[in-house]
Amino acid sequence: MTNAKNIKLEIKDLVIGYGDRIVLQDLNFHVRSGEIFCIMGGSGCGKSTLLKHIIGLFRPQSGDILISGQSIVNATAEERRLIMRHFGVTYQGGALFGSMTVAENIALPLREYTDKSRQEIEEIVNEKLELVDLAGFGNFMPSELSGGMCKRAGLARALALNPDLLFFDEPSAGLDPITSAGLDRLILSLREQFNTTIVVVTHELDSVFAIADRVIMLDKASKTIVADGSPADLRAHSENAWVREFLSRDGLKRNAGEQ
Amino acid sequence: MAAENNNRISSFFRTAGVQIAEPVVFIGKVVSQFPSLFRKRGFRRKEMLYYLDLCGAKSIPVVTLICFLMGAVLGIQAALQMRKVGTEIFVVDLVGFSVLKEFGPLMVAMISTGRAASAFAAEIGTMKVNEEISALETMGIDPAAYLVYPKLLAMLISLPLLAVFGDAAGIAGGMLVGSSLNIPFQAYWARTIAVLDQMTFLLGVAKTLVFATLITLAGCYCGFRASSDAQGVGRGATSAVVLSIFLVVVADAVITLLYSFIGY
Amino acid sequence: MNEREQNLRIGIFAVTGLLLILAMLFFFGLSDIFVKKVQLFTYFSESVQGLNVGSQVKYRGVPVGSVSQLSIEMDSKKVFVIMDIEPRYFRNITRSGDQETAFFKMFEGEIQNGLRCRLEFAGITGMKFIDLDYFASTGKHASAAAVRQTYAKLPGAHYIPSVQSSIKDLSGTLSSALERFSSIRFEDIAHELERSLGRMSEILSDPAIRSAINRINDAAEHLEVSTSTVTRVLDEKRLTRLLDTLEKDLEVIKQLGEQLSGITTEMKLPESTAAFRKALDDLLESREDITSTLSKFNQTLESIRMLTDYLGTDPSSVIKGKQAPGQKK
Repeated sequence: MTNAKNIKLEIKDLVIGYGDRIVLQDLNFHVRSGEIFCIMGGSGCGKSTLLKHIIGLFRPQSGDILISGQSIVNATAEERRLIMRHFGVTYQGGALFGSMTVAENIALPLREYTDKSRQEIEEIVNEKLELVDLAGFGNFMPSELSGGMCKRAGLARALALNPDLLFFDEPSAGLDPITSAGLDRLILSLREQFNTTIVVVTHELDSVFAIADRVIMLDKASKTIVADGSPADLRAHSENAWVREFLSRDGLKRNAGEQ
Repeated sequence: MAAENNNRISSFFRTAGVQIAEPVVFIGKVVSQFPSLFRKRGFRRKEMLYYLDLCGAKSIPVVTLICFLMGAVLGIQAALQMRKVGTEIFVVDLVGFSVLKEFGPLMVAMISTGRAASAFAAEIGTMKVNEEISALETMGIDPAAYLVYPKLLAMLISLPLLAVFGDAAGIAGGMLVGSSLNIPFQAYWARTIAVLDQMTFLLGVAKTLVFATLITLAGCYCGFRASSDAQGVGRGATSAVVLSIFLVVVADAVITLLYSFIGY
Repeated sequence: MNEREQNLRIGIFAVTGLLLILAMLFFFGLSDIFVKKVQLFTYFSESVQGLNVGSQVKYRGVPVGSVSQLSIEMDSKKVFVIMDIEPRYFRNITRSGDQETAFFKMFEGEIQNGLRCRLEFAGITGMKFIDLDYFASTGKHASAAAVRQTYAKLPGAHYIPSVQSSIKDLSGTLSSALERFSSIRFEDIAHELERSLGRMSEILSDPAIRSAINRINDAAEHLEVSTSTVTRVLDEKRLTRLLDTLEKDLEVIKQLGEQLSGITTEMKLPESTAAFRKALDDLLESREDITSTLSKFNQTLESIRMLTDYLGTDPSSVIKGKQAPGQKK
């Protein structure tokens, strides 16, 4: 382990599940500051569930999650809300509030948590929209946007408070390869511009190889992490055959063929 | 085998306990967020206006029509019976008091369960499917309070107002029937303002405040509890209507009982 | 714009709603606040079943107010009723001054003249109203001054005495009538009657009476003979010859007449004969012969009484009677 200062997110002995059913256990990993970190795994392995635990929506059965050194598990409701303000989350479908315009969506956290004037908020909203290539779409309702635009708008909202930690839930799901690649570039540029730590849950290999510094792989059968390292390294040298197959296109195709 | 049975029993009790505790926890969540309303920008005016329009203003035609017909039907039925003993003028009392005490508030509540409770449940259910609820939470905003209070306030404003519309329409309905059954308009009106008092009117309208709270909470609760898929949203809306009607009728009985203690 | 439409709807909703609330509050009672009212109070000693707060108060049939309070005085157990009267129902054409004082002035005068309040039924429903009017049975009531001293001090309120409702009145009359009826001593009357009848039968079975009756019978026959003789004598115009006989007869008849009239007055016959006959029918079945005798006796007595009366007043009428046929001449 490197020094604690550099570690943005740390997961310790985490066990998660619903009721009596354990979804994942023995989870131990950390994300360094400024790193792009991918959580991978087959469908239904619990990667989205893990994300929801990390961002504090669900309570783990045991173990601890530290964000910038603060435990989100043991925090009081008020403390948890404070921690939550320091990271942004981009959901699969964007999760924009349907009753508000795009600009209002982005302005919401600003209005809630800052004392900025209407003017200042408007400036920040326009800046964020420009950042995600949606300049001029501020007055659109979410229902008037395409899927990719919704995701980008969601990203803009997640960025509103300038978080140093960003979570992406399946950013390329449901997008065509070109849009998906555009989103990948956006993620990389965010890291370049703001040195943001980014955690991505995905199973898109192209994305993983394009952006990830490091990946962990979750296995449905063993209910834990089966691999941890850079994607290229793992594809070439993983001791686990399933990991190597997963990371190579052949493997994916074969897996699909089996089902 | 025995262990499995044991498990099943314990899980049954656990789910039963959860089912009883869940609404209470939900209410607790909402109430605990009450102070946030007084925080700067804690209140969403725009949302409230939206619901005021949806549950209030847009409900006027249907509320007026239903209450008018209700008053007319009551008037006809009462007149048919009272005519036998030559006491038609008491149709006015019966229609007036029934409408003010029960039918006005209750009809408004019933219409609102259809319009508001189902809409609330469906809306929150859909937000859940779209992860909007999660988004709110990770923004550090309590969804229960954030979504419930604008609806609650809108309902607390619109239901009493609707009840007033309903009351007026109901009495008008009775009057129409009365005038066709040999109770002259003037006599009906004079009798109406002679027998009805403002306390009855206000207590009837006050009932709707309780109904508004129950309908809103039931609608939102069923929305939050709905499973995150399209069918789940539909089921949530249905159960919201059923639960609201049940709660409204029970509350009406309890309030009527309470009112009887103070002589109304 | 959509938002504008929404705001318009909400605005209409809120404004008409509030107006309706105000209108309803006004019509359902707040309007009362602006109506001037004066208070009257009274006590009812009877039950006020059917009277409620809000029941009408009518003055000679005009609804002028309503009952505003009903309570029971602890000491007297009387029902204390406060009525709100709206003076606006009393039109003031000639009197000067404000409505309230004018009303009370009129009202005091009315009470002096006997205006009272009374419970009346409103239709068949059992509901009641209070009627202010003049009633025949004013009953006894405390004077207004006494009431004001004894009972609650109601500033500005005036006392109006109450009278019992007509139903209460009727039942009172009925019960007193029944009471009087029950005080009649039917048994004593029956005893008295029995005793009188016993004495009657004693008198009738008295030998003196019997002989008197026989003698009357004889006398009657004798008289009959005499009269026929007289007639004959008159007819044959032998008047003078028979004068002596007649004189003698007359003497006997006069004696008999006096005797009889004494008996008859003693027995108060004209008044009692009917009762006697009835009593005899019932009580003296054993002496059936008396009945027939009595009827004869009756007839005889009647004719004798007439004769004696006649003769008693003018004995010489026998002669005039003789002359009566003579008029034919």
